[in-house]
Amino acid sequence: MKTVQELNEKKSPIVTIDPALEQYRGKVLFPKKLEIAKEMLKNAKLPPNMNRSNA
Amino acid sequence: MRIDKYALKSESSLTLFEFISEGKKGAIRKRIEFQEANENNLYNLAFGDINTDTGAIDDLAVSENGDTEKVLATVVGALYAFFDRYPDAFVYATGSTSSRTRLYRMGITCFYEEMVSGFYIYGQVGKEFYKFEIGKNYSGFLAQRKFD
Repeated sequence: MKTVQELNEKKSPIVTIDPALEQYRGKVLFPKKLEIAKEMLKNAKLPPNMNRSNA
Repeated sequence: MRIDKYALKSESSLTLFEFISEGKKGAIRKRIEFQEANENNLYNLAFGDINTDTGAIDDLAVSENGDTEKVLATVVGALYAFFDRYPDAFVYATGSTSSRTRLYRMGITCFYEEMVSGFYIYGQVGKEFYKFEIGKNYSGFLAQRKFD
């Protein structure tokens, strides 16, 4: 069993799945923010995917 | 650097997270949303206070709850959880205002050592992305999980 300190120092946190949040799944709750991002990313050149062998 | 994080709740796809900031102004519900920005595994990170009347995220709210570092650490934690589920994703973030973008830059700078050990971090200048450098101005930020 992990100690509380070990759990706290993990980079990936413990996430509780809350069934009450399922109603938001797949929904864009902040469309304005997404619009801004899409505008900023229009024609932007992404860096190579470093996790793929052909990167 | 070890900074406490708030407990995160999510729905089962791990694209929406909530937590409660507890500080000098009381309890404030926060939401982190990873929004699909295109079909190439590119997601936008939206983050802010939950408007209790509408349920919408208000990313312009200035909480001044005295727990900025803990809040930012929690957002970084959500990034790790998201990338555990979507390892090939890119996550983009930009502020709704230039001051909010500077806050994002401050957050990355604050957690730079921890973040570069786990992520490739890029800063946006115009339409190009460059390796993030502390002290430089960027209009947006991009992260990709680093796997050994």
